Formats: sequence, C-alpha cells, structure tokens
Amino acid sequence: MLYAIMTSQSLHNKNKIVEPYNSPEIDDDSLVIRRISKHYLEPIKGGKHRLSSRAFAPSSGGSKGMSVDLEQLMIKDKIDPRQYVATPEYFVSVCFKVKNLRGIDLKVGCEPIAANPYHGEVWGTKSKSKRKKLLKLAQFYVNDYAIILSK
Amino acid sequence: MSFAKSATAFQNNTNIHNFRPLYNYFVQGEPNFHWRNNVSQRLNELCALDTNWDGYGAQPVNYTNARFVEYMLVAIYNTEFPTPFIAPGVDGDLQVEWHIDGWEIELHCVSPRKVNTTFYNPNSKEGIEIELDSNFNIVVKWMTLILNAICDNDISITA
Amino acid sequence: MGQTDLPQYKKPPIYELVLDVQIEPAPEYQQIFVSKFWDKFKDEFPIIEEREALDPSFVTFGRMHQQNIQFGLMQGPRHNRYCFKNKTDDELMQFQNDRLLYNWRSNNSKHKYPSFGIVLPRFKKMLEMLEKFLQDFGQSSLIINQCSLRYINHIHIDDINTANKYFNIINFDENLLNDFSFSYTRIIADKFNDPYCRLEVNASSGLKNNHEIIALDLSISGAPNEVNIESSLASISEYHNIIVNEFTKITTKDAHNIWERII
Repeated sequence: MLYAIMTSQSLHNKNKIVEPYNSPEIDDDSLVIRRISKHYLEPIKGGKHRLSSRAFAPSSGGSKGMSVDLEQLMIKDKIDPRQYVATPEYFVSVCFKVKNLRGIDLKVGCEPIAANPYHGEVWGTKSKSKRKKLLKLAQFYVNDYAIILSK
Repeated sequence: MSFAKSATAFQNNTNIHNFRPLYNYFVQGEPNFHWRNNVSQRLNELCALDTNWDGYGAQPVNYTNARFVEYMLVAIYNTEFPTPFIAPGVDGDLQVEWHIDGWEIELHCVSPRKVNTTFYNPNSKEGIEIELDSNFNIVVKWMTLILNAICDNDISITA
Repeated sequence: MGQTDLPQYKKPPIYELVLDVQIEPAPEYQQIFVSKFWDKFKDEFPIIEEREALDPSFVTFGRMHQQNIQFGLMQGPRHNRYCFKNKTDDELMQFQNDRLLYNWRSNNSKHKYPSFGIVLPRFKKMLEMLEKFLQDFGQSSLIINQCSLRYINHIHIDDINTANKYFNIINFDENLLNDFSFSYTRIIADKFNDPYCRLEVNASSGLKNNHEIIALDLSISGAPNEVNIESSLASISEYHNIIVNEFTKITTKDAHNIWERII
C-alpha cells in the first residue's frame, strides 16, 4: 500500500474534510512544493518576474488551504517529485521547508485526493502579510525556464 | 445603458424611425484608454483557462467577475497610471495589481461587489486592508498619492 | 421609502417601464430547465421568444468623469434570454440565468399605465416565484447584485420647435430646429456622501407613426443594500421616487398641465 493512501485514511474527519492541523507525519525538515502557473508571473523590468500574491492564496472551497505537494511522501513511494509536479502544465515550482512554515504560524497537513495522493494543505495564508512572508521564504524547486523572481 | 434592455422601445418597433441626434451635448468622444488592449487581451486569456489550470483543481475565471473587473477599472482609470497586472484566483476570482517602486495596490475581486483591497505605502510602511463594493474613490486617491510621490522622486513609470 | 409629496400625473407620457434585477446564477441551474420555470406562469405569459443574453453590467464609482469604455471581452457559452409575453402584449417577463426583467409597455392607446404601486408588487411576485424555483438548483435564496428601473416616455409634440414648452433645461431661440438630443448622468449619494446609484437621462426627438415625438428615457441602476428581494424592491422603490422627481424637475409646468399633474 502506498504511504500516501495510508495517511489519507487516518487524517480525514467524519465529514471527510480535513480540519487545519499540523500533521505529525510531515517532518519539520521536509519540503512542501507549490506549483506555480505562468499566470501568476508578471514580467517586469530587467527580464525579471514578480510573483502575484494570488499564487499563495487559499481556496475558498474544499479544505480552505493553499494546495501543495508533499515531497516526503513522494520520496517514500519512490516517485520523482520533480517529474510529478511538472503536470499538467510544466512551468515552475517553488518549495518551502515545513519548519519555516510552521515557524510563521502556518499549519501543514495531509489532504490526499483522488487526483493526487501526495496532496497537502498549508493553512493560514489568507492575510496579505502571511503571503508576503511566503514570497520571501519561497525557493525554486523546478525552474527550467530560468525565471528570476523579484522579491 | 443598452437599449437591448428595453424590450421594444426602438429596436423592434418599426413605427419609430428618424432618430438622428444632431448633437450629443454631454457625451464624450472615444477616450484614449491605453490599458484597453492589454487588459482586454489578459481578461480574455484568463476567461479561457481550463479547470485545473494551476495543477490543483482551480476553477476557470468567472466571466461575470471579469465583467465586474472591467467596470471597476473604468471607474478608476487614470491616464498616467500603468496597465495593471491581472492574476487569476483558484475559485474563479481575479486580482488586479500595481506594484510601483515599493507602493502596492491590490484589488482582489472575489465576486461582483466584493473586492478585498490592500494598499501599501513604503514611506510610512503602512498597509491598509479594506473591503470595497462599488465605490472605488479611495483607490483613485491612492493612485493620485502614488503618482505625486513618484513625481516628487522623479521616477518614471511605464505602462 | 414612500415619498408622500411625490408628483403624480393622471396622463403621464409613459411608453415603457422596465424593472430589472441581476442575480448570481444558481450553481446547478441549466438552460434546459427553463421550461419548468415557464410552467409556473404559462397561462399568464403564453407567448415565448428567445433572444441573446444581456451582458452583466455593474454601476461602479470612482473618478468624476467616468468614461464609457468596453474592453471587448469575448463571451463564453451563455444562457439565452427568454421573453415571455402576455396575450395583450403589454407585459413582458424576461429571464436568463443571471437576470429577471419585467416590462410594462403601452403598445396602443388602450394600455393605460397601471401605476408603480401596482407594478412593484407584481414584480415582487415574479422574484419570489424565481427564488422558489431556483431553490431546486442549489440556490437557497436570490443573491441580487444590481437592480435597475427604467422609464421610457414618449412625449407627443406638434413641432420640434415647441420642445422649449416641455423642457425647462433647454432654450432654443430659433425656429429652425431639425433634431435635438441631450443626455446626462447623475450620481446619487447617501447622507455620508457615499454614491450608491447612477441616474441616466437621455432625450431625443424622432417620429412615431409619422408624428413628431420626444423620447425621454430615465433609468437608474445600483446595488441594493442587501442582496435579498426585500432590499432590492426597496431600492427600486427609491429609484422610482428619484426618477419621478427628476422628470418633474426637468419638465415645464405647461407640460405638467398637459399630463394632468395631480400633486
């Protein structure tokens, strides 16, 4: 059985919705990956790009968090995370150390879904100030187009 | 306001003709709206997004929201201000943004008449977050403030 | 919202009246279900026409000299607009997934304007019927994001050069007038000076059945205080007061006599 599926059975509540919480299965030193659609990138002067704060905004539906991919679970299942996050549209992705997210009072948890067993959520990114902090913490994970971000 | 709204007033009533206004005293001519091409191209691009455009199941941009953004931009349009960047949201929402020399205005259109607005002044290091509906007077004021500050600092901004 | 001293006319030159609300579409409603809605009022409105949908429109406020600009957004797939007419062709209900309109119109001299006091409750019934209908499609109550009221008046005149007699905001001093038109908009603000709706006035001369007329069109649109039916009807009622007062203000006493002003 896949590690990711095992976690999915243990974390959903009775209503099949994941409440914001810190999943103990996700190590502080592991990485969460956020795929970045090209639609979030504004070309600016000097060939650089600026990343819109929408890139780290939570969803109003579902579990109301910011969707991420959990690298730790993929590695355990021997899946190449760099390949995995390159779908459906290959562009760039950024990553955060879980410790850093929890350090700014964000919660990181598992929310495996049918389309993505390695899906997780980061809760608490609603405020602009939190999203600004995320922008500063973000490191490129996949950047084959050599995008330079202005922070 | 379009006559289409009126069921019959002029369009379908063949008895009425010869409406040839000589003067439109108060109607302005076609304005020089330099945001138009970029904004319309961008909004059309975002409205054409498929479901899951972000890889996490995002919804396509809502057409009604895009129309509201049009009306919002018309209300605040300033010839001296650069074209805004427009980012899609995951729930069919849209965000209009300006980031100029440390100044920031972000208008997050959640749905028509629900616009979460943020303004950041780099000089005072103060940020304001408010929700607006249809009155964008405060945004017009912020834009003027930014333009004045930039003129004082002799910084050019490009559209 | 009733204004007790609101001007009243026995024979107002009203040709058409349009009440309009714009709503958020019900999540599970699809065009195929429109016949189920029609079933509810088919007896009263037995004639149906299908037309292109009206685009969403919004009144917004910002700069003083707001310009009328269209960005040319391409439309995705949209619900058609269905026009349901009554047999006498003086009433029309228009429905699309994000809008409900009611038109009363005077297609011949037999159709006497029924008064706003009769029209508004009629529209209320339609809105309540729609609200109940959409409950089956995932919308527990209507979410109204804009409402509008529009009066189109046809003022019959003998000669275009007598336009001065009807309008006190124009003053043509030569008898060589061929055509005329004017238009203006007015922002209506509350006691805190916050704008909440916009009045548009358009007038133009023309011919109807070979007789000269002036078409005077007054419309107001804005967001209701709250998104429900009650609040929207209160807004429309207020818009009615504003339109009647504006109509009275820009027209002359002579004209009021012709239209048999009561109050």
